Amino acid sequence: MDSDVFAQLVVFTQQVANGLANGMGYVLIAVGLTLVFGVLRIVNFAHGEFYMLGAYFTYYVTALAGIDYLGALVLATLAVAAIGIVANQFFFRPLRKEHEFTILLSSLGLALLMANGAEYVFGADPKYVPTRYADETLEIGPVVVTQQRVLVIAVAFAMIAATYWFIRHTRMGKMMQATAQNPEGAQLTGINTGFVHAYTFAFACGLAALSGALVGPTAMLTHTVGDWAVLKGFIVVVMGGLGSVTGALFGGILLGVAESLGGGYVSLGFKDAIGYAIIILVLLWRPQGLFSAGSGRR
Amino acid sequence: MITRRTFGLSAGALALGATAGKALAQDKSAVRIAAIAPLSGAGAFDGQLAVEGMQAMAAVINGKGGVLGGRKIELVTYDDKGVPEEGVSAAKRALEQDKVDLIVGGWFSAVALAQKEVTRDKIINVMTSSQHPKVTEEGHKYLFRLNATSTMMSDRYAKFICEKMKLKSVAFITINDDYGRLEVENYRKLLGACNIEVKGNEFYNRNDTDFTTALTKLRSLNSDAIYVSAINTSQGATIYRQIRQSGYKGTIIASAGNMNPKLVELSGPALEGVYCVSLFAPDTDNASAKAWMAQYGKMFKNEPSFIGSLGAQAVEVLAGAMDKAGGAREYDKIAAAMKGQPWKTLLGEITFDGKGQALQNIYLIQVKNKKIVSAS
Amino acid sequence: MLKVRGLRVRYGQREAVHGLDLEVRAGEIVTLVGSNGAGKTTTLKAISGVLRASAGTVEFEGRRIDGLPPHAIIERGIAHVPEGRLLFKDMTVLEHLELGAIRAPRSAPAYRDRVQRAFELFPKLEERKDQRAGTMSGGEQQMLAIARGLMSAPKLLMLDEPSLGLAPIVVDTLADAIRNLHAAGIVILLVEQRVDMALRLADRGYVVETGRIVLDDRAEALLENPRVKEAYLGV
Repeated sequence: MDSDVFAQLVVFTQQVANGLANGMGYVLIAVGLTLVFGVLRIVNFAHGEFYMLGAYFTYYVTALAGIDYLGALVLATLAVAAIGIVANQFFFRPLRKEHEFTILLSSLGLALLMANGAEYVFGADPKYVPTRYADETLEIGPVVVTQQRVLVIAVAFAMIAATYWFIRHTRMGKMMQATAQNPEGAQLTGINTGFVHAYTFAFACGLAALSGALVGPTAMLTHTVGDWAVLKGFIVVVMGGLGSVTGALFGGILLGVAESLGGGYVSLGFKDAIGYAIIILVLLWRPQGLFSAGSGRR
Repeated sequence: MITRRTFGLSAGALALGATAGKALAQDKSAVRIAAIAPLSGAGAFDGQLAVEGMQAMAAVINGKGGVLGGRKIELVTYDDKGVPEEGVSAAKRALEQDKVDLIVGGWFSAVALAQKEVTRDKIINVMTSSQHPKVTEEGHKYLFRLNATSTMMSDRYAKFICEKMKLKSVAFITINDDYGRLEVENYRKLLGACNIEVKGNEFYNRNDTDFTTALTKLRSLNSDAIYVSAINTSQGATIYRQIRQSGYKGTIIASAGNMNPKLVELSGPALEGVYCVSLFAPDTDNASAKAWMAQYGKMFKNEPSFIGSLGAQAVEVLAGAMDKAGGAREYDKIAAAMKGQPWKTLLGEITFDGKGQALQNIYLIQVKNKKIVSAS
Repeated sequence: MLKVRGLRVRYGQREAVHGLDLEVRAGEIVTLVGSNGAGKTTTLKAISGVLRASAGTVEFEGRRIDGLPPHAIIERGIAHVPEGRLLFKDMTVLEHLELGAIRAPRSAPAYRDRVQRAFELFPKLEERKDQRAGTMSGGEQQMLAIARGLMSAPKLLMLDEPSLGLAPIVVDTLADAIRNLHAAGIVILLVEQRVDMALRLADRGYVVETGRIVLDDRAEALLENPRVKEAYLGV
């Protein structure tokens, strides 16, 4: 093969690999967001803040308590899930009968409170979540991916599969489906929808924290990182269809790869714009999401 | 969001009391200096370092009795968010609402360029770390700028790169703003002149956190070195790390004037051995710098940084010039004093040219064992 | 068995039920009839806890149940099969039955037996047991809604407009099922717009108009009542 063509091919493959790694990070962020929307009917602006908390907790547990990164990641996920229960109890549960707009404002308020609280508690200085996988690379021929990004991809796939299985095959998952598809019907079936909301929210917050702990080490950590996370999450959720877990998977991968190829072959300045462009197209032509088959199971 | 904080610096209160008797008839209110810096957004940490540097120097000066025969220096901080519009509105508030005596700001070039029109000929305004030549090009009478312009920096840095680094080719990753575009243009010219081939450049945006796309393209160019233009610590550290994570094994050239201890800490092994040019070398034996670093260490948990030293220098020079002029609002006299003599500062002796541009000493530094040290 | 006293329910500012009294005794089929918007559905929702009463009491087997959440009321033995069925469109028949069973008392027959019982009542459902609710016909959906309610092994079954939008032959099947359930010892509170059918099934009936009970009598008597005849039977 012509060496120039080969070099082009390597760059292309590398860009696709970069996009896949980023995309799976987006998937992890988006799954919790889409679940909360589907089951609680809440657009949770504070989702990114739970991502941020997950990253900070992992940082403090590894850097200060000296616990191994993987252990810290699990602790952070559980701790943030617990915080999610409290947040739901105080910010969303009391407003359940209120207008959607009130709930939207409440989630926005929670996001601001957490972001500013984080600046106060954790400081404005950037931090780096130490993981031994971040600087170690995996070289597949000429294509280079860090072990951290491989970890992101693997965990994201595993979490998607586990979440899907949980929703389809466990009692609690079926209760989530029922609550999402018909809240009043669920109540009359005997489902304690308040309880379903609580564990769904906690689960989503745990997922957000997990994504923060995993994706956090690919860049520096600041208290404003939640804005970025929730924005990417929203784009994926809108692409994949609100409330759809499988949609989040395809939406995340598509966004990651589109950004990577768009940034690589059009212009880097265009990279962030790609997400917005896709959103506008989706809202115009397929407001139910690209990957939602109308009555598709979540 | 905390957009404005007033710090009453009482560190010098005791010393003040001791000198108060001397000048009973005089005004004893504090001299209020506006510190306009990015305190939120992507540049928040750099803004924090800058303001901390100013505060430490103010405390040193207040500790020695303050200025103008016993008035202490008080800083009023404003958040410009690293955005020109916010910088303009902060300067307006400082000038019109809070009626401060002096203004220090202009950490980012884009902000400085917009802000200077608000303060023009109304109040002494010292711009700090911005490197864009246009900041002082027109030479407004009350406008000063401390940092070496990117042209001054790049002249010095390019000379070193050409003579010592033995490179055949280089590629750039550059922030897409006034500063970055100018910087890459400078180095293209300067390095081209000494026969280093410029193989390419990738622009990134101020809020980017993932550079793998750009780095994949740069890596495929196979240049001997990658020059990183990054003024924001958080982004800089991410870029340095991701360069190594992308599998690039060539030389890294660090952004001129943007080396700081936090960057070294965050970048980990990626910055080891990397050279840079700076106005501040932490291993200096300058007495003012030592006093400032000691005070800084008492007040803050961050390490004293270049950006903080520029803030400190602003306060130091303004304090000297106010004393010389005999008032905090004697702007013509202060401006004349600043331009009229060399100033001994924590960054060594400097002078200002007729347009208010400081002529600073530029040092070559290197990261060794995770410390920033002077290099020869 | 069920005693409703002075029930008032409001949606925001507007009160839909103004002090309604109602009683269902053991062994009965009782029907609430009346025109659209009279407050029948609202009354059922207040009993099952989906809506909260602003005044009045609801007693079931001698204990107050007003103020309890819906799942707790189901545990007491009241199942509410709502108007519009409110099924989970992407879930299968078996999944509906599984969820319907989560509040059944320990004393209830085994889960498998209850499923068997539901399939005997509605053989169509067994044929469709792995089908999603959203893909079934209206009649099948109504059967599923009732079967889901029955899975909680209720003592009182409240049916809201079960015949709405269904073909006459399906309505007959449902009427048979209701008689069948009643024979098995389940007390029934039926809300129906097909007043003649409802009164023929029921022991007693209440006529509801604009949020109040206006008539209350044995079902046969109501069938002969001129006011009922004129207003609801179109005679």
